[in-house]
Amino acid sequence: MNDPRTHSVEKAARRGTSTWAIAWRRLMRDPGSVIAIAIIVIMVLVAILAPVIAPWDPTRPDREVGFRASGPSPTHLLGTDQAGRDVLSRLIYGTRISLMVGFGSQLLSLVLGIVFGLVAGFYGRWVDSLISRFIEVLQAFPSLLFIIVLSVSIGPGLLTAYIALGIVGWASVARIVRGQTLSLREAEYVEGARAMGASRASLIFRHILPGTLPSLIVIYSIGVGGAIIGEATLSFLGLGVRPPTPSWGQMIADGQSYLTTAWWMSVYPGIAIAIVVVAFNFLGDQLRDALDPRMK
Amino acid sequence: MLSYALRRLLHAIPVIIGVSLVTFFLMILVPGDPVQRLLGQRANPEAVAALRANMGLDDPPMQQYLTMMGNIVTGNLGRSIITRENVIDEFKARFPVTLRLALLATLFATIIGVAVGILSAVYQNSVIDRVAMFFTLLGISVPVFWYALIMILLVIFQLRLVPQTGLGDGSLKYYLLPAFVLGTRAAAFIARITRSAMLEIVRQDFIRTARAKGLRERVVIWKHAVRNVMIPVVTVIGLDLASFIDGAYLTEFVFNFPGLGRYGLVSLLNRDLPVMLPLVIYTALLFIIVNLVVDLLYAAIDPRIRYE
Repeated sequence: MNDPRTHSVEKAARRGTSTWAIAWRRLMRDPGSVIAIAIIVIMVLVAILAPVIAPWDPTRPDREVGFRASGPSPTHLLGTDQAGRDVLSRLIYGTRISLMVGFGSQLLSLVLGIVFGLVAGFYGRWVDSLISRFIEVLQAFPSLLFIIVLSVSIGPGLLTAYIALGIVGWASVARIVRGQTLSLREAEYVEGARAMGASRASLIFRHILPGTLPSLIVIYSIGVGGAIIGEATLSFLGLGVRPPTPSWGQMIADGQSYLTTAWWMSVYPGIAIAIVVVAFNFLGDQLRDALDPRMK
Repeated sequence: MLSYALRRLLHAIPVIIGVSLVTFFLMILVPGDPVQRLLGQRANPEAVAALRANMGLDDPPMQQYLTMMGNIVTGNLGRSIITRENVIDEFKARFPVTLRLALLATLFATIIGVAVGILSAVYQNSVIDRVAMFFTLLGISVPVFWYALIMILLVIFQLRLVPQTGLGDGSLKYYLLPAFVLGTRAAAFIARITRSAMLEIVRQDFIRTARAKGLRERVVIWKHAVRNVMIPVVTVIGLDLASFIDGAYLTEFVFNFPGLGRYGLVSLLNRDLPVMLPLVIYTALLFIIVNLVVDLLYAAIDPRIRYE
C-alpha cells in the first residue's frame, strides 16, 4: 500500500485517468525510456533541420582534402569519404532516409495489418482461413530474400524500400489484430454494445480497434527499428535510395573497400544506426511493460 | 508423433505453392530478357528466338510455372545466366560449407545465449545483469553486416588472428569468425528470452520447495530451474530462425564466404533468374523443416508434450 507506484496508479484510477496517461507517467519515471524518447525526438529534429545543422553540402566533394578520404579533423569532424565528402554532413542527411522509411513503411504495415486482421478476426470462416493462409505464406519467406526479390523485380529505389519493408511487416500486425479481435469479439463489453444495438462499424471502430492499440504501438516502435535496419541492408546491397542522396547503409558499403585505410567511413554510420535502433527497441520493450503487462 | 510430422509436412505443401507463386509472379516483373543476357547484346535474333522457344519462355505463364516447378522437384535447374554453371551443382558444392557454418554458429549462439541469460537472471538487477542486458539490446539492434565488418576490422586487420576473410584452405579457423558473428547475434536474442523464462521459473512453487528442503542454491539452479528453461529457449531458437537465415546470407556476403548464402545473394542481385525460384523455395522448405524439427524437439525435452 505504501508503494508510491500503487498509490499513484490508484489515485489515477479514482480520477478516471486513462490507461494512456498512466502508461505515459510510468514511462516518464524510467530514465532509460526518457533517454530513448529524447534520442528519437533529437533524431527527428536532426532530420528536419538537416540543411541548417550540416556543416557541409553532403554531396559536394571538398577540394581542400584533395577529393579523397581524409581522417577526422577540425574541419571535417568525422572525416571525409573516398570522394572527399563530409561524413558528418552525410550522416545528418542520412537520418532523413532512415527515419522516413522507418516510420513510413511501418505505417503501411500498420494500415494493411489492421485492415486484414480486423476482417479476418471479425468475419471469421473462409475469409479468415484465406487471410490466415496468406499470412503463413508471407511468414514462411525469410524476409530478406523477399525484400530483395521484390526490389530486384520492381526496381530499386526509395519507393521500393517503403513498399518492400511495409509489405514484410504487415503479416505480424495482422496476426496480432486478428487474435485480439477474436478474443475481444467475445468480451462482455462488446457483447453489451452489441446488445444495445451498436452497428457493425461502431463495434469495430469504437469498441474493438481501440482495444488492440496498446499492442500495435509496441509493434510499431519495434517495427520502425527493424525497418531502419532493413533500409540500411537494402542500401548496403545497392538496392536502396539512389546515390548521391546519402543513406547510412550505402555509406557503410562505400567504406567497405577502405576498411583499413579509412575506417571512419563505415564505422560512424553503423554507430548511428545502432543508437537509433536501440532507442526504438528499448522504447518498445518499456511500452510493452507500461501498456500491456500481459503481453510478455 | 510420426503422423503428426507427416500432417505438418502435408500442411506445408500449400504454403510452398503460395511462396512459389508469389516469387514466380515477381520474377515475371524482372526487367530485361534473360535469353538476351545469356547470349549477349549482339546475339543473332534467330538464335535468341530459338533459345527462347527451347527454354520454354514463349509458353503461357502458367505452363512456364509448372515446368519450372517440375524441374525444381526433380533437381533439374538448368544453367546460371551469369556463370553458365549448372545451378544444382553449385547448390550441392556450397551446401556443406553453409551447413558447417550454421551448426557452428548455432553452437555459439546456444552456449553463449543460455549462459548469459541464466547469469543475468540469477544475478537479477546486479551490474552483471545490466551490462549483459545492454549488450543483448545492442546485439539485436545492430545491423549484422556492419557487425561483421567491425569484427573483420578488429580481428583480421588489427589483431591478425585470422589471415584473411573467405574460406582459405577450408580449415576450421576460417569458419570461427563468421560463425562467431552469426552466433553472437542470435545469442543476444536467446539470452533475453532465457533470462525472462528463468525469472518466471525461479518464482514457482517447486523451486521454493527445493530451497525449503535445504538444497544448495547451485543444485536448485542447475538441476531444477535450468532444465525447465530449455523449452522456451528451444522455441526461441525456432522463432529466430528466419532472422538467422537472413543473417547467414549477409554474414557470408561480407565475409566473402563461398557458401549458399553468398551465392544466393549475389545471384539475386545479378537477377540470375534460374537461381531465384529454386533458391527461394529451398530456403522456405528448409525453414519449414527446421521449424518442424524444433516442434518435435519439445516433445523430446518435455515429456508432458505429446503430439497426436
